[in-house]
Amino acid sequence: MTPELGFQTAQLLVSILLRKCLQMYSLDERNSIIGDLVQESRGVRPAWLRGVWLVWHGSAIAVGFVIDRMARAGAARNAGPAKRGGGRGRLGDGAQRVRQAARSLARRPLHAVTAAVTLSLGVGISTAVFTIVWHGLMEPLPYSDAGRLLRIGDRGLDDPVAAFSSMSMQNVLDLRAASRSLEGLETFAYEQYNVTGDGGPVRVLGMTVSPGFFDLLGVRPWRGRFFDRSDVGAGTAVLSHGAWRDEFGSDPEILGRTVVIDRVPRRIIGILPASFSFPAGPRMFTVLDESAPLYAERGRRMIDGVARLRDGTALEQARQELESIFRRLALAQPKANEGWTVAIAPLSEWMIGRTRKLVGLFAAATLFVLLIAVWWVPVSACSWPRGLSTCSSPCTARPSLVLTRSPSIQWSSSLPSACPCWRASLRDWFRRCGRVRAPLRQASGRHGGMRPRLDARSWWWPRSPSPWFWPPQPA
Amino acid sequence: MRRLSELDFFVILAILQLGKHADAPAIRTRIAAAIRRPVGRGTLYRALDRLAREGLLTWRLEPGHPGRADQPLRHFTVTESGVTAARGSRFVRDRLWSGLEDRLT
Repeated sequence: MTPELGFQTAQLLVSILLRKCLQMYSLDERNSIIGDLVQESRGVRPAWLRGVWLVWHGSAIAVGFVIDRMARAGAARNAGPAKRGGGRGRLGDGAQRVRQAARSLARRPLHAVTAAVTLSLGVGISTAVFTIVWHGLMEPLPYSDAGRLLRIGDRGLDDPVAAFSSMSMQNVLDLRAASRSLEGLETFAYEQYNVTGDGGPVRVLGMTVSPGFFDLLGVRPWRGRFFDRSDVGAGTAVLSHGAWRDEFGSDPEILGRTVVIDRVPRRIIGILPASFSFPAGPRMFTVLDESAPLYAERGRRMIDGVARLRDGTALEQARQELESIFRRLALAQPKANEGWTVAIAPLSEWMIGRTRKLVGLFAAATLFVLLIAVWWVPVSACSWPRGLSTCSSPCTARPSLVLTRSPSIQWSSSLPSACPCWRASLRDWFRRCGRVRAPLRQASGRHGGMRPRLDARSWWWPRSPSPWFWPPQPA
Repeated sequence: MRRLSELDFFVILAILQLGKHADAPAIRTRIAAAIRRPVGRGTLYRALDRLAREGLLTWRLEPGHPGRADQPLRHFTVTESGVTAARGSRFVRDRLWSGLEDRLT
């Protein structure tokens, strides 16, 4: 799908959803409310968030409308002469309704269990997926000005699939010295530490990081301090909040205490905030000595890099500059660097890029289910105020409030068939279904004995002067 | 005539204050600025519908502009009944307020 087609599809979806949400209003009221929403959403960026904003607030207005009509219907029932339930008030009527629902559900236990399980699953899955989407895709990374953070690595020229390989420390030092588009370039490497404290040895995932790593990310210590240059070789360590809580029992005197990490005694100098996260969840950090003999050989690719883009510099500009520097390095050190180039991407892309498609797929599936719900709920809600306006019976509002199945299959058993006016509402419901299904019947040439009364597009096609109200044209 | 709720009272006052510029977003902004907390859109539109249904205010459509995607704009006006209802609400408040000036000001 091209971006233009995707954008137009999103436009259409937002238009339909918003009009569907507000369909209870008259055409003039609906268009003016949509105009109000468009006007008030001018500051919402980016465009997709604006679409979500419009639908969300349109739904809120629709819910307000329905609540108002429910209150009116309750008041009309209580004020009217045909009071049910022995003249009880609104509370009594509600209790009667609950009893009626309980009786009808008890009559069909399988139906009740199916409905309960379906609802539970739907609510649970929707909540779970949107939680994942929120934390995975929408919530900003827990770093300062995370949009400028980059992941930097090496990439083999003959290996287009692998996005990032580890880097050579000597190359990193050269890139750091020569780059003008980066504000900082720091290194890290994952490690498995054997930690010996008061209890037995524990194996913990950790990271060895260059002294400026946390400063580059813009993270502030929750307790103590982070590494500086003086910590190189000094035997210090920083704990994640989780490690402090789980491995050290939230010891308030942990700072300054010495633990043995891989047989080396290290003094704990700081604790990270609970909000800090990094891929794979390292729990213990030590300082990386960039001048260690281990890293002296240029061909040994053992470490990874993060960088911060200089303010006002574009990602593509930084990419071109680093590739140019790397080409020079390859010419100067062909043995170590031939066949390699530098890989660069936003840190957020590296952290969530791999799961983005999967999460997006889940979110789309959930959105589809919600779309079905949004489609049907207003239809059922709408049959009710309309019925109220044509009939003053206290029972007219009932069909919209009960759990209904598709009218072409069967009505719910809780539909009050004894009510003298339920047929009027049912007719109204069928009329609406006729509107919805008319295009299908017209397309298939089958009218099912009922000619569509409306134009095939009228049930969904915008009828305003400007069909596409989202995104609005600039003022 | 029923007694106005607090929000209905605020809506009528906001429309009267805004005069020719009394559209829904402006009313919402005006009330929110006065009470120093946001007013829900659903709540406001409910109140506007309710008041219009009871004949306390009317609205007329005006053509939209590109800033609102050419969608029409509803301008609200308070009717005589609305003004009377607002006066009644104020009268009730004034009556309850009387004698409490020393304690509440």
